[in-house]
Amino acid sequence: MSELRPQSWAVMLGLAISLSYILVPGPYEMGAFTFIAQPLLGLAIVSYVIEVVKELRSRGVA
Amino acid sequence: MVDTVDIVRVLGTVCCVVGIVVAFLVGRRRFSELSSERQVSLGNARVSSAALWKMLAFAGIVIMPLAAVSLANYHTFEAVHEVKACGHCHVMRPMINDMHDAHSQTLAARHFRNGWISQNQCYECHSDYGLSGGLAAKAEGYRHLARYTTHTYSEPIVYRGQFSNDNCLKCHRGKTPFEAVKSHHTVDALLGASTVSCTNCHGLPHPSRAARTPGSPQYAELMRSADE
Repeated sequence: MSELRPQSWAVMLGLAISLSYILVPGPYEMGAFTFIAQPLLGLAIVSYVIEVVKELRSRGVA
Repeated sequence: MVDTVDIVRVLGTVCCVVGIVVAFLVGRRRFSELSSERQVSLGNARVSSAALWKMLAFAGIVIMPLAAVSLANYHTFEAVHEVKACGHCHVMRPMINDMHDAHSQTLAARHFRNGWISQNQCYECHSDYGLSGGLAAKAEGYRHLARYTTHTYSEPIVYRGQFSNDNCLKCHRGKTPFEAVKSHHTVDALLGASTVSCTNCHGLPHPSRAARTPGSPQYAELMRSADE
């Protein structure tokens, strides 16, 4: 598995926005969570899965 | 008694903080340099340090974000049922102030004053936005959110969609006062299809557009903050 730095940054940013929304559920926090945090976290997960599949393929498992 | 919203806040905070810490550690780790031979104790089990970091990466990048998103969406789909959640957007103040006005004759105010809806008054008549509503209503909700947070709207706000009579009929249909009105039976099919709106005969649900227009005599009163 190569480094997971971009995925980690996306997760940290996404979770920081999610935390602000969980603690203060106002409209701007909701907007940031809906339109920034969720896509970022989704992107991080998809890109992580791609990395995992790549590694499994390189080992001949998948 | 602990509220669900408090549980969501505590669990959500824990998930987000733990997730941020784990993601930070995973982001600094060079996976190519991890040894499969070096063993690490994990309770009763022993795993290689490479396996341990891969499990941490899975937890930090998949499990924690999924848990945090699920918990945060509690606010999106459940906590928004409360009137105060609608009041967070200042464009909703005219509807909420009018609803609490003891002298207003709008449908919302009469329902509130007479206690016809005991709680979550906004949501009970606009339940299309919730989990039970259709996709179009949810897309509308996201559009409203985008317009409000980017300030790409103008007052008075205008309801663009078609209000479904089901929101009224779910409570009124089958009740004696409703069934006793002959004209309800005459237009029953039209009411069911929302071709004829309940408000055609029963008046405005909220203050008129003219009253909600900035500069109108009622505007300042309708826009006052709940704290004033």
